[in-house]
Amino acid sequence: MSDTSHTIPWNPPKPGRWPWFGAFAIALLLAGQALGVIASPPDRDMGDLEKIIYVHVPAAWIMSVTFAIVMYYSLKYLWKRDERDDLAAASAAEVGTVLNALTLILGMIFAKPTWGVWWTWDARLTSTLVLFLMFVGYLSLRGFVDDPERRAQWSAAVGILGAINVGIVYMSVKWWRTLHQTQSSPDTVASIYVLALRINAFAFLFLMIYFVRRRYESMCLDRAADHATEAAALGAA
Amino acid sequence: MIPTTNNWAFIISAYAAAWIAVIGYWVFVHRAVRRARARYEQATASLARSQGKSQ
Repeated sequence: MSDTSHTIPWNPPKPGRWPWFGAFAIALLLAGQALGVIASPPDRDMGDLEKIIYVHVPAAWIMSVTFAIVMYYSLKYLWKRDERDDLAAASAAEVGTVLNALTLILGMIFAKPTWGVWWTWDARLTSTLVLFLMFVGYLSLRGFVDDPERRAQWSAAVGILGAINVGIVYMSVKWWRTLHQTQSSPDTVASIYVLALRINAFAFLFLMIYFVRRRYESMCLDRAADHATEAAALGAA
Repeated sequence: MIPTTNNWAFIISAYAAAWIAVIGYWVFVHRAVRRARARYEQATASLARSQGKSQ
């Protein structure tokens, strides 16, 4: 095969040892959930329902981290204009949207037995839904705009606005009188639940990193294929 | 006093939803990587052929 590197501006990343990292994240999630379900005792107020915190709270925490990554790479793209930063932001946005949807679904499953309703227009729930809709808009926008540069610029703007909304989601339980409890952290739960909560949080964090990295790899490969196709068409013309 | 209401249906639903999301997205990402790599290899091979012709 002849050298095509001068027609593709960068080499797409290789899988390397990332599949092993993904397998480790899954194993940690299994261990964390087993610890949470089997070993943690029922809570005084919620009974066995407290076991839902081991999936709901880590999903919400890591969703926020993922959208912070979107903001970082969106700003970096606007600063450096390197399309790989745009692809990194898009990868994180997709993973963050999945985590956002999961947080909402788990929240609804948690809400029904604790509040008696699946959904209420509480400030935390509403702001999380708005965040989800913003990132669904972000991903739709990427599907609509064909020009890669314009798509990257518009996506960066929407990504930054969406990520700012994470701050509103976080503060919503303080700014408004809500049904949702205040921010959860290892300090707000009984010490007996902290270990399982931490393990599950790290498992979600590692899974998120794995998903973002692999999605970035696939987006880079797709974009590099576009570059190669354009170069081949120009060469044939 | 610990509540005695049986809420296991909600707990099982929550864990099932989490695993469906994780495994579903895992499959989606792996398919996307495989498809993108095949597309990239095809595109670079076609580019190499076109560069070979032009030389």
